[in-house]
Amino acid sequence: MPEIPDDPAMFSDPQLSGTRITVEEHIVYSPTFQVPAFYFTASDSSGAPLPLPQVIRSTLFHLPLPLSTLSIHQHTVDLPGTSSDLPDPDPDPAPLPLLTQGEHPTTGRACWYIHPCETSAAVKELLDHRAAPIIEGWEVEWLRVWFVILGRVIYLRSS
Amino acid sequence: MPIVQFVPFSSSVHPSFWHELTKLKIDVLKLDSSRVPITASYTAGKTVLDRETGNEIGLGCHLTLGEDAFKVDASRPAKHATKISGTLINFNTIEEFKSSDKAALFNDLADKFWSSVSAAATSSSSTTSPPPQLNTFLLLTFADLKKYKYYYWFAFPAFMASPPWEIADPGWGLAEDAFGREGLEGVREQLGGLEGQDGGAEGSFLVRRGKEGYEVGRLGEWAEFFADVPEEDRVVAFLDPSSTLNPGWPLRNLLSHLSSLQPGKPLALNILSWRDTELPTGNKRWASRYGRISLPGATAELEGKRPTAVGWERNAAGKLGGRMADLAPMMDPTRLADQAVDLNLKLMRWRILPSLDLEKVSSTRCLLLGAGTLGCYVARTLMGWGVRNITLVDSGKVSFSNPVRQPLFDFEDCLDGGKPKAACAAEHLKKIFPGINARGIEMAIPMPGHPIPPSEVEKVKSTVKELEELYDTHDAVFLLMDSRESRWLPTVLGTAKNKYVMNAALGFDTYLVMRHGPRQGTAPPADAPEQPTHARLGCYYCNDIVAPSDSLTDRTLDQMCTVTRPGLAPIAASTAVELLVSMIQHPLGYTLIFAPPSSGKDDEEGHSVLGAVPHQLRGFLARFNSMTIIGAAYDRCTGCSDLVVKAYEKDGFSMIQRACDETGFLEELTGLKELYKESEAAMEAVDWDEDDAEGDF
Repeated sequence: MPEIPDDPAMFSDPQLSGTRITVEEHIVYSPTFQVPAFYFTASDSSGAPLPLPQVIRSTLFHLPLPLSTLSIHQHTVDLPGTSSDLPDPDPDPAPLPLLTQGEHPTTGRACWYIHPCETSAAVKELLDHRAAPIIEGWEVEWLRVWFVILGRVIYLRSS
Repeated sequence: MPIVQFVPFSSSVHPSFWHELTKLKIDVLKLDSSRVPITASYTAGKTVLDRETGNEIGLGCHLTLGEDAFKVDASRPAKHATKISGTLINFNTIEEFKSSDKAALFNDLADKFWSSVSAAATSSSSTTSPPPQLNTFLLLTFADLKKYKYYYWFAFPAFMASPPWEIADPGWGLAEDAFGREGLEGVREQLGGLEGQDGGAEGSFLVRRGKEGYEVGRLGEWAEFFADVPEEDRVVAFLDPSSTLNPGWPLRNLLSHLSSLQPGKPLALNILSWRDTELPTGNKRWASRYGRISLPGATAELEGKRPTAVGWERNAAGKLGGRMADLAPMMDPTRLADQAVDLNLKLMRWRILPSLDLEKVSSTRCLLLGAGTLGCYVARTLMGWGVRNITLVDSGKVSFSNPVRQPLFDFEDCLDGGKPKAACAAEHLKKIFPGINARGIEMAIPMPGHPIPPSEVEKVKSTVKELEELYDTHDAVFLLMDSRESRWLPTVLGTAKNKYVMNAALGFDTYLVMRHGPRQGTAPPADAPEQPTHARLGCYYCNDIVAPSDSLTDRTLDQMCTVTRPGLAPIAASTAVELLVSMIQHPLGYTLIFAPPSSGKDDEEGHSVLGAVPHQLRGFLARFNSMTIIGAAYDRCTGCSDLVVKAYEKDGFSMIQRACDETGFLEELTGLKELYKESEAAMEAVDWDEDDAEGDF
């Protein structure tokens, strides 16, 4: 153990207000489902990955339902969706049901991601509610709606 | 006046740094623990709005290590970030990491570093001289590559000023108040043009008031820049990673540098703690801070010695010690396999059957009696369901005909007389999925009709004991042997101990899959729904009126080898597993004695969430169909009747021994013998009318 001289000039803050987590977010094209998918990693200041319950309770998520109504498992969580075992199912649920862990398609590293199998249907549903169908530039509109749906569960604002 | 307090760096490591270190150690360093140059970076201190309380929370004072740490020359830091170079020493064992002479390493670095900080080049012709490196760090590591745990300890050397710097009233104020918003905008704009050599943000710079607002200049051009500026108007600025009132660690060495230029002279400086690399949004004030600090008396002449250096990082508990990053959850392949298998099952549950209870299935401990064709396919299907505990029992060795039909064996397993089947199968399960808890036991189960030679009695006795213990430590038993009589003892034990018993048997192109009924008098689980009263479901032997006996001697070769159509075993085996799982999903479990013929409707009585839970299935491959059958328990059954079970419980091994040794023992015990006598007598008593040959047909 190194000898440490007395250092009155070092500021030591006894209260640590919260934990700092580093989140890396990716938008990756899923060739299987042919839609974009939202991938992210969350680690603490040592570089260790955060376990799922901590990830869900972090400020990354802002869920329309209280946490107690979600079934949080070791590696997966059923986000508000069409699951009928919710006590009071949202009549217009955000269809992003399965948050889980898998491999990033490019880097191969373990990542959390929102399973894309329901994405197409969810976006289509919102697009269909529009008055006039968009033909030109529909991809951008599609992406915008995708962000809206994602934003229902993930906190996407920058500050 | 109060002493200036500096907020120390706290380390923030990105997981990719550990991945890179792992690669470096494996490919390059190996056992070399010499110093490796690395870089880290920091950005301006930030605050965020706490959505719940509405307060602004500081994000700390961080030095970040990412995946480009090892690319010393090539990497460009992120915009608005300043890079600093440091030294990594990776130890090869945890002992070396712990016992390394930290003081020596630290002092060694501090000595070298002092010459960089104090050797000032602020001559007037210094437009091209590189700015001195004013900050560095030391990182000691030990990488446990088997467990994916990284032990580490940072030190951020800073030289202590003695006596310490003091800050004038009113302390650290907002820069906006001192310079005005426009003034700060001007500083920010000009900073953009004053990029660091590597394209990153400038770590320190100078500010003076010019004709049209404030102007910025390089630290190395001090004399030139401040030539016409009175001392009290000179401003020294630095990129401040601190997010709270006090300035961050990098300021310390900047001050050491400046005071080393004029040793012995009292100094006073205006400090701009620059934190506005991004424009403030909305009504937010500029984050930068400003204060006037001074060295009260003369610093002692050092005579070539460097000032004391401090800077070891404290661990999470606030003590002096290393930290540890546990990356196993994301790097350990066994855990990744585990998670992937789980995900697969969860998807099924989530997408199709939310009420499926996967935990119940995966926690069922399965005992497979027989590691042949049926055993291998049952084991694999169970693994597909996430079952984590599988024990296989078989007395045989792998033979050359096995691998093509028994998917847990390879050609190699047949050589040299053949590996023991049960253990070999278990090993193979582990190769397929390392997370499985698989065991193989070589055991020959005693059978009725096969008397136990006296020399073997002790051995068989302990075999039976071992089998009983296996039953006690498992929840479901699969009877997958290749003869009738070998299923007798397992049936008795299964009934006595009330386990899930699944029976599968193969003919040439027909199969039987069934679940044994519960022991007589078993009550259903307390919270289970009521079931209509039915006769107890029977076992494999309930329809027999003869006790199982020796069927193996005197068979022809094809009878002995149980020749079957190859496609039959997988069908029967997987059916047996699916039947078990469906039964497990039912709240009544194995006490379910109600098994209506399946009509395919989901919510019928006697159905689980997966569908029907038939009692018996007989399959006919020649017709590609199967039928469900119900067989009631027979109260004189040699396998599951109360008479037999109670006799076993009372007399234990001696009862089993008698069943194996004595012909007719089981018939006598169950009263079948009586039954024969009665039916013989009844046959005798019938007065066959010999004349009525034509009769009414």
